[in-house]
Amino acid sequence: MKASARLVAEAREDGRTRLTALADQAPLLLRQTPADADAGAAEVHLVGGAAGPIGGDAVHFDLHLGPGASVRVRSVAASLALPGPQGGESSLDISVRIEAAASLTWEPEPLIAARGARHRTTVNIEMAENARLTWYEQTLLGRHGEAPGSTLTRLRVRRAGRPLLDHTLAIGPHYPGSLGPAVAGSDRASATTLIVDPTWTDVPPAQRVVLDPRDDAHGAIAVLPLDGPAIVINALAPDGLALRRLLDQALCHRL
Amino acid sequence: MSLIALLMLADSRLPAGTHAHSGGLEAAVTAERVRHADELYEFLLGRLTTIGLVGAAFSAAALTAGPAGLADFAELDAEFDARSPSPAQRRASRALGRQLLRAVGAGWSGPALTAAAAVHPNGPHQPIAFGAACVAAGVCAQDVAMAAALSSVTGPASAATRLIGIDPDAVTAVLAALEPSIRDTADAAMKAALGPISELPSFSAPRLDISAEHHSTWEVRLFAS
Repeated sequence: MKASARLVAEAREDGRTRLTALADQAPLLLRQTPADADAGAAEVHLVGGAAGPIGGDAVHFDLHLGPGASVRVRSVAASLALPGPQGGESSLDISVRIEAAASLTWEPEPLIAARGARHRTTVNIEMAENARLTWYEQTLLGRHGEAPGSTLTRLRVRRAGRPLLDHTLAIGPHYPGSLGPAVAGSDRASATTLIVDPTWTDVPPAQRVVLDPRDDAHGAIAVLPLDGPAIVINALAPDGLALRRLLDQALCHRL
Repeated sequence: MSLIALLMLADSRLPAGTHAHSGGLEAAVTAERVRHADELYEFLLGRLTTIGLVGAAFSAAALTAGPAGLADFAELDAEFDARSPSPAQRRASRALGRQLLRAVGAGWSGPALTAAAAVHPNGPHQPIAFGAACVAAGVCAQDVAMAAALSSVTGPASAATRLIGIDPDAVTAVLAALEPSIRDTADAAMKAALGPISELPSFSAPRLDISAEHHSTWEVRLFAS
């Protein structure tokens, strides 16, 4: 299944964000939902309009946030990547432009890679120097008690024209060595969180986010300050529940 | 000619500081994730196919950039920095790059070494320094990728004999078993190095990133990383 979706957001004169384009195609449907406490932001939920992603599916999603716009993207449920009939890879390409003083929060439910599945997510973000971004993604290899599938996620962010982060996580039986002790080990749940906040230029991220790195049988987590007002939080845990617990504890410490 | 220089640059006895680094193995051994030869193989394979591939691709790209395109060193360094989220690993990589340039400068010279040194006050990232060293020594890109891929596992492998008290012959057997993967990694690195800098691979090893941050806070440790 080939599909594409597009979202364009603009800030109105009263400061509220209006979605000027919201185009979708199954299997990726977009639904604007009432924003909660975060006044002025537009909230969009991703809705799976078909099973999958299934091997062979290719979906493109373009997001463009105009100056001052604020958008939060969530999803109604976890997505389940399944192997395709010809054993091919499924892919999701996300292209994002965040203009001056705009803010994007991306926090969908986890992607679960079922046994035999191969899924690739590629994210390219161009952001202005004073734009804000929270990008959160979670991957679970295999459903409960199931052998792992394989996923590759590449997150590339350029800020003010310079590379800020280029991070690929490829795990699963398709990637040799990735289930070994250097990459994921015996853990089957991983999360990558990127937070870019231009106000951190004045206060170093290390003083903003207080978190004891942890590395034991229940999970591993570390806050990694980038060279810029940004941090990556890397987390690994045996399963989705343990990962959730680990991150909840970490976020409590965020000042 | 260039083969001799390559063997010298890839020799662990070159005083470039690599013996002080375990490539994340010390933390993995202490956490009991690497206890014997089979686990060492898996550890090294994971390292090779992630940051080993990235390092080899950047080394080969630095070589293909120089000497005509020394300005690319700065772009390569910035792109490599974006691929190193762990501050502990960024520090270790720049320290190793600086030491490598110093060691190589004793025997070779040329604009590539000068250009690489000027990339960052703390030194260029190690793969950029290695590429520049190979420019100075007249090594070809394919050989650079091979040597860089190999060195991503030989350093931790020699640390293994000290950290897990494993028989050195068993370590040699592990390295020999990795040979086809090292060759594949070098080929993939070479292919990537011929493409645009922004598309160079960025595979990460989250266990290594996380444990590098822990390890850097230890008061007592055998290795710097």
